[in-house]
Amino acid sequence: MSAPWHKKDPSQLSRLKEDLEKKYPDLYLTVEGDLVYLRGTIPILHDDAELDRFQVEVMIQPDFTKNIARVRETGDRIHHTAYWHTYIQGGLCITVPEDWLIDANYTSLIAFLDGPVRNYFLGHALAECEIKRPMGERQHGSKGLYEAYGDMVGSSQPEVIEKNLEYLTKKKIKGHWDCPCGSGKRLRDCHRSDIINLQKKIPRWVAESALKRLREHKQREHLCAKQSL
Amino acid sequence: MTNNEYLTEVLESQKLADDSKELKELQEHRADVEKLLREHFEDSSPTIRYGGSKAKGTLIKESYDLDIICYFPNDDTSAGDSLEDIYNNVHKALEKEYYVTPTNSSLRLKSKETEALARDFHIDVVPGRFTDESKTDCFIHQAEADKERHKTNLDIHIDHVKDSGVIDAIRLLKLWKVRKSLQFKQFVWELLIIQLLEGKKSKSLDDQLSHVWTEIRDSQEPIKVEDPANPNGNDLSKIFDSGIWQLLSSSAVATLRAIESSVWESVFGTTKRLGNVERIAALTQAAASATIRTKPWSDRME
Repeated sequence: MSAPWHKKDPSQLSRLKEDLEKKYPDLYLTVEGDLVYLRGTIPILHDDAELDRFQVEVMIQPDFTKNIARVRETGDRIHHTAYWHTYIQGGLCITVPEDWLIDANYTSLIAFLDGPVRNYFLGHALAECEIKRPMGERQHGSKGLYEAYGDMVGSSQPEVIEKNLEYLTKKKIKGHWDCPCGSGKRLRDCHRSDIINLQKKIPRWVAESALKRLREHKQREHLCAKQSL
Repeated sequence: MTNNEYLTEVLESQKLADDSKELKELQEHRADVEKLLREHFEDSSPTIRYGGSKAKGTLIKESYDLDIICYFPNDDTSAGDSLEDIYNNVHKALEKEYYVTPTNSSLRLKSKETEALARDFHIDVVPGRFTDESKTDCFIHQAEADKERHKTNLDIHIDHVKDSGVIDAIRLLKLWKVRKSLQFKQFVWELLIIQLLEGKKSKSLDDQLSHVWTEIRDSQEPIKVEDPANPNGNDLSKIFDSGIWQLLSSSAVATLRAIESSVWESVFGTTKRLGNVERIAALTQAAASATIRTKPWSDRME
């Protein structure tokens, strides 16, 4: 296993500390083995007003930036149920990870806090007032993954989404492959240019991560369905 | 605006008015809890009172938990033989109406509503038993400590804080602690602040706060704090173990640095708060103006 990000390049950690002091002074950073934690509170500011504030623990994993940080709400305000978008093992399902990993700013933790984390809390604060989350919400489990990956590849059909992801995990796209759209044509005669464009948007490692997550979820759901019969 | 004017504004923004929605709700829940406990422990006639920040006048909007003490007479055993029995029996009684989370000495109440509406009531019930007929000193059960029981005295704690003359500093430093998510007992934090500000009552708020942080920064070892309710019996040294102290100290260092290089606003942020309608509008507007748009998910199944 390779060294964690903060040991590979300690200057990244110092930069993060400096950025946090400026942007999120109520978050303090601690290194615990291979993991880096940020603990404290995140204010939701808008037009000079503080709209809300959440107590959090952000765990930055050793393979950061290949994986998004895990966020837990520590103020006992968010219930650990699917309704409030939380993980089974605790923590907040801020977003489908690959949704963020294809963003141009995915390597910046501050951008993660400013973007997906803030979005989650904005939505949560409104949901507490029984107002729909303005940015919407994904369905739970694999359905939500299909939604997210479908948005990424531009399809709503599960088979097409999976096939696209599978091709995106390949080093080279071959023209004689079947087109993922299901037309029965060769790729070169159908959606080859679309796949090439997707390759520019979705890095191979993100497609691999998405496909792995999707398959794991499908398998788990299949097992659960079988057990409940 | 001077530093003191700003800090006064911060305090004002953290005020929970007597007619505020939050406080009214708390008072309603308190009445329900009291009724439930009185009915359940009819034979014991427990003393049920406000404890914690509500009684001490150190309540802040960002952390407005309400402690309700439920102390049983010293000669009463109908609520339980041991302190642990009392704790467990109060837990069972509350469970009829609430979702109860046990903590070291108290019982946290949440609603039993559906998952969408389930929420924290910000109420902690602290069961205990008076040590004698005078109904002053009390023993409370400790689930996670070396000693099974902890001797305390609510009135001594309340008076100690109320008479300290540094309530504003305590409220601001409580806010600071909450915002930094520093996890140690609030009453010990209050004791430390009062101790450090001895003889500094007449100083300005900014001086008082800076003094507390400076003392913490400059003390390599955790500062020893004495519990006025039981000076020789209660060992509070474990509250500030070296790990917690290091965290407290580094937070104080960062705060002092922020004040030195910037302004006090960098410590407590903006004091602008909005009413409910305006807040919802602002949240909606903030979401609409977000450049990065993401949706929450859940790895659970439907």
